[in-house]
Amino acid sequence: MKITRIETFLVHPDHRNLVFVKVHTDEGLYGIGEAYSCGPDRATEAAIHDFEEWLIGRDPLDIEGLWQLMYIGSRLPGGSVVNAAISGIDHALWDIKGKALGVPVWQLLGGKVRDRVRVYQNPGGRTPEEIGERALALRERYGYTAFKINPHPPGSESMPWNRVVREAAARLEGIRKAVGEDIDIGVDPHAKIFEPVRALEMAEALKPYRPFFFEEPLRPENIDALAEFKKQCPIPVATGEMLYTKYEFRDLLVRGAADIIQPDVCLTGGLSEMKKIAAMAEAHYVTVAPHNPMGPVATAVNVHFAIATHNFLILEYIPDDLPPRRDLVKEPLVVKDGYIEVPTRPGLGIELNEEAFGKYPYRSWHRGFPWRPDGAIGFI
Amino acid sequence: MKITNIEAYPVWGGGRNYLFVVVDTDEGISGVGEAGLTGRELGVMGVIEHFKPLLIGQDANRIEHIWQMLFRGGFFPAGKIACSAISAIDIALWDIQGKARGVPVYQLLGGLVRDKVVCYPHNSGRTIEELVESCLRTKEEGWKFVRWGLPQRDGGILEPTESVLLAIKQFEAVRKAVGDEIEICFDVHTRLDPPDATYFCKAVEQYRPFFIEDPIRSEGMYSLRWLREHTSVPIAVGEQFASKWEFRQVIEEELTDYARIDLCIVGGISEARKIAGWCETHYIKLATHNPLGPVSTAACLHLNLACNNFGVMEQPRRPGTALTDVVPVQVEWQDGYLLPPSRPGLGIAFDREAAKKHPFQMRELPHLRRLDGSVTNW
Repeated sequence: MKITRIETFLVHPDHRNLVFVKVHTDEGLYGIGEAYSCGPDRATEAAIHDFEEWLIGRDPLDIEGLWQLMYIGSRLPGGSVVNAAISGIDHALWDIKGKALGVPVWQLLGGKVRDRVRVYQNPGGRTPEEIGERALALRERYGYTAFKINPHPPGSESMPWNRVVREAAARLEGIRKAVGEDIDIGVDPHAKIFEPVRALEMAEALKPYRPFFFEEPLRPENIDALAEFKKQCPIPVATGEMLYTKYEFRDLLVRGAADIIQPDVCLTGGLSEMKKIAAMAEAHYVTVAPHNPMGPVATAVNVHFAIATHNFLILEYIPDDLPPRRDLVKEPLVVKDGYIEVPTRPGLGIELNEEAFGKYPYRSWHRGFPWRPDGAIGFI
Repeated sequence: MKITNIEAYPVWGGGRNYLFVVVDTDEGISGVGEAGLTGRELGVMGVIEHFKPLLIGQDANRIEHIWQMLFRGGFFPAGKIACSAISAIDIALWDIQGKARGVPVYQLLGGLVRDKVVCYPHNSGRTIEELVESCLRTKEEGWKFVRWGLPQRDGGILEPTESVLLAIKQFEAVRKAVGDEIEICFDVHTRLDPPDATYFCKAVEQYRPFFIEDPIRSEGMYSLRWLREHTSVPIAVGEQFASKWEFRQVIEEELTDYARIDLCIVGGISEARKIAGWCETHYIKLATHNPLGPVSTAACLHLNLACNNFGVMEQPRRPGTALTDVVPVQVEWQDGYLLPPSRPGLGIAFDREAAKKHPFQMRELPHLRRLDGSVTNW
């Protein structure tokens, strides 16, 4: 079997672009994948087409070899764009292999270690009351057993720190009161806090409400600072969505800087890389809660990973049962009682709904600029 | 696909036993594995008897699940004996999976990253001349590596100083004879303590060994740090380790250059591939330990074909030259390389009836003593 061409689709269904990949072969089989929407999304698409030139004529079943070809061939260890491109192509190669062998991808990863995959959603919401109401409505609809919230209130860049901490605790208290004691709730400062001691203050304020994890309490650039922070942090530390490849997770794990890791399968190097990262984490008694804010293909790839990976913890999830996201694939995976069932079709078991893509053309997108009162830029 | 039976086949191979394990399923597909704890076969077989009722009725597709169940199911984490049993079962399950999907096992591990796998044989000689002759014969046959171990006296006596001094002379003679293009692996086999090992490693640096294997005993790998501070020779350790956790220190403290994973002790293909990916992040290469039979050889070959950070594989003799009635289909060797099998699964055949014709014989591994009568490692 030979790779004949690689198609890409930039689709903008709601608030950001999604980057889908389709790898074609001379036997008519094709595979799909999803690359992280880094912001420079046209650059990601272009990187995928650069790799297309390298991959045409090669056997798509040689997944590990092609991964190394793209990674080593790029020479300079990639950042967001190159690793996102590798990831999307890697997914598609696993999809092809599953279809070629007539089995779901999870069967190629060692088989089923669980019967369903636990997921959580971020309900959003501006005030503590609104977060609680939205969480209850979502629980009613999807049966979630876990949520995650943003501790920073809207406009936090302009607030005194004292108020940010108070409101963070109030927001966690708001959802805790609404959903009760038996729901797990993660808290995600989203790497907006710069000083470790401030993150520690927030952790202390959140502790009485027993958060499930404290996600990206610090910026990702300095792992030593995070390791030092974790020694003092009274709640479990989760991080990793901004880390590329097993090499960056090696540094995180060797330093004991996280209780839970959150690699993004669309950014860190695809399914091949996720399996290696999870294996290292297993040796450290660290669980994996994949970062998954992208589209329905990313969710499917993560579900296959979760089914075959013992130290998987929980998957971030955005529902795909309502338009416009519902339009993106033929049949999205659905959540029942807070879990996704095991997909049984060969490959990833999910098909792009390309006919609908015309309705959601590419739009220029970036994350916005959170200006502080003094005119300096804040983290987002 | 349900597991219907699991059976251990200890096979006397003339000089030593090999322990094969066959897993049967209700779909008529069977797989074969091998356990690696040479000299303690009865212990491994006992564990397999404990595992049998746990495994019958399980879905053979659930390889990772079964691994977790066997490793953790007995409350006490699996040690070397139980890990060897798990290894054999795991390898058999990968064989079954490949056959069920109609592809060689390497396809299930990510596909080919190389076209062939370089391997080294075992050399020996009672004198330096005999050793040199053995190495030259190896070179002539097309192998790219030679390998021998720390010499001992006749009568099972090992005195470190004289062994080290003799080994240095061996090194000089072999390097001179085989030339620069042949790689030299040397196996201390855990026989030395750090000072002797360090003296030896420094002395042979000039002969450019590919690696020095197991320069010290394996219980306390911290001592390797001291040795590594004093010598530049590449180090290879790990053949005695069961599970990823025993590998953790040498990988994360970067105490070794080559990981001598024994697939038949460490926990099978499932565990070996996890360790392999971990090694990749520390720029450690695999040098799979394989003093065993043709099933171990095939399992190592499939992993190495799909693993980017591969160095060399042990292959004591050319495949197809031993146990040919028990394993009538073995992997192929050409010019010092093992070639990718094209047949589904491990790509070998196992004959149960032939296996029964070579029943187990009680045989202990050799023991060595110092001149004062005390025990020292073989």
